[in-house]
Amino acid sequence: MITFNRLSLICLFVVSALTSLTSVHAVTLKIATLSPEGTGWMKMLRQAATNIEQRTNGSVKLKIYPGGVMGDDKAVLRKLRVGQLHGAALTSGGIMQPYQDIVLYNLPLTFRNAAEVDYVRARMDSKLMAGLAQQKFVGFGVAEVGFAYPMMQQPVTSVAEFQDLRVWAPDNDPGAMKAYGSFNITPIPLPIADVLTGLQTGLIDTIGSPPIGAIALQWHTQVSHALNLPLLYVYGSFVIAERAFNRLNEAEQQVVTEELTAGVQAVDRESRTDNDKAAAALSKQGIVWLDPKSEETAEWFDLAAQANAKLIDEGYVSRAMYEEMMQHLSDYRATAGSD
Amino acid sequence: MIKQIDIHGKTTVQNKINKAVVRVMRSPRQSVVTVCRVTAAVLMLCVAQGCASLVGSVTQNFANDLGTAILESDDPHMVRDGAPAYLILIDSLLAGNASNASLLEQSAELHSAYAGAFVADPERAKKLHLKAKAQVLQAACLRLQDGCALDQRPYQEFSAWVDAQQTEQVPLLYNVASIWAGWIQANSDDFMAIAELGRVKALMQRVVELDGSYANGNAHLYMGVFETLVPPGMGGRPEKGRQHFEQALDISGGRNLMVKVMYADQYARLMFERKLHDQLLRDVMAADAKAPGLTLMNTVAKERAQLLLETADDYF
Repeated sequence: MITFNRLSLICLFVVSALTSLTSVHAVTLKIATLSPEGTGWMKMLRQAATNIEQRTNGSVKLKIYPGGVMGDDKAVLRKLRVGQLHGAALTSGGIMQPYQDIVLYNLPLTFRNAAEVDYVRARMDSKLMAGLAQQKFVGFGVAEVGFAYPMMQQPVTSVAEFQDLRVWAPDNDPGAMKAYGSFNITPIPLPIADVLTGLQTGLIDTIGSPPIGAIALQWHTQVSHALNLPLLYVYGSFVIAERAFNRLNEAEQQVVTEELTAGVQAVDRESRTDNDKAAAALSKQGIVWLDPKSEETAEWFDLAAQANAKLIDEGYVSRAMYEEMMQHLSDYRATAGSD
Repeated sequence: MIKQIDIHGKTTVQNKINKAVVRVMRSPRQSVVTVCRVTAAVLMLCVAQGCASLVGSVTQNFANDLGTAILESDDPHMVRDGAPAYLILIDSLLAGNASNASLLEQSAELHSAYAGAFVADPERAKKLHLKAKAQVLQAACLRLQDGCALDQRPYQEFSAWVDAQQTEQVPLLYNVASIWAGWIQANSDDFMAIAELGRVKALMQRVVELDGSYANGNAHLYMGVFETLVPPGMGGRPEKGRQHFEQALDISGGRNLMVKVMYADQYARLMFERKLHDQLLRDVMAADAKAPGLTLMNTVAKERAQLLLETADDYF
């Protein structure tokens, strides 16, 4: 009888230990994204979730909240801080709240083409991720959304002509507001949700958007021209709050990092090709791509450079990071002969 | 009040809508089987309609009986196996009547439905949808004033043309919109196709304005889907979508179970409303699939509802 009781007791301990071990190690990471089901981001996250769960034998799961059900970037960041959420796909404008320098590539007219972006990013993405880590967020790389090009309802190419237009800027994006300010354009701030209606009613007549955004949200139905001027480089990242990430053991962290990094890289690559296709689709829909004259281009870039210098003086991003980026660009332009 | 269903007209369109609506759905891997099944049902309806028109008055009664049998079948697989014969038949008829707008429209419906229902190879499906889209646009060109090149003209011009359409054009407008939507869904990874979604939405919106009860209210079902494709923060209008789903339910007298399935899949999932999601789907599971002209579609809807219920814990 005593033996039996002891055995029972031992069994009980073993079972308890196993149970507690399981509960300690089973972690569900709650993830938010604005992207709806079916988009590139969601397909990537679902695939990553499956891979992570399989590779960790079910000890790490991703619970995904798509389509902005957890609110906008600001709301998501708040929930990340209090631990209600553990990770999120965020725009650079959203991430700048904890880490200002993440908007480095977002300064207006910094890049002239995708090759320049690639050169700089190959040298600086890891520094941005390191900076993010210091702010207690684990980042898994930069994911391109694409260059935002001006799109409007009339053929306009010069800075002066743009100053007469009703230009939209996202109401939660200080980068875009500053970008237009560089050209003495006073934009009309509106949430993304109101852009199509704004174009239809005439509240605004000009937008800046990557081609994929203009088509996905059907804004292209309300514009007739696009300006071949890479106004802003738009991008985002996928982050997990450090506190949540540290709940994983080393092997689990490794798996999560591998899967999410690969996923972000895939989204990054697909955006590039999608934008090329979307730009062609805009042409097929009758939207005319305009090239500014060379003196007009020079004016756009000169004004942007002056404005960016001022932004650095104001501490918008750190001077060291900015100067490093400009040095890389200078190096690239010297070798590529594109300056 | 359950509306009387016209096998040769509205029901066919309605089922096509269901097909297209399902195609517009996201989460492609999960939806493939369902889409196929739904479209199979749609196809049957198209077959019924096309057959009736083709054989003319001599065999009208036979066509009616065939249509009824198909619509009230609860065996999508049997319907699937019979479909290719009608595709070949209508192709042969068109060979000698390439400018026959009615034949073009019927052929477009058949090809679109068949592609969505039974063609697993995406490239082959795209070809069939492209053929269907070209045929129905050609039918519009032949039958509607200034109705040519609807996918080519600048959007503002297209929009003005849509606004000028009147009630008598509703059946063709509806077919153009639903077949065009099928083509977009088959090419949902192609920005060339996505860029045309605004045109389809404008057409369907016009159908709703002119005769929202047409095709058993299925234009509302389409609009419900279009308004819930993107979240509210990105310009989606889920509350408008919800109203369209409710109207589609009212008009169909609640007998079209696919409306509830799409309502759950599109609206309730987008808005993360688990209670509504489960309630709608439980209603579908508890309902009798048998309904005049809707049995086949409802059978498919119940299969889809079961799948959505099974995956709800993972989603919510």
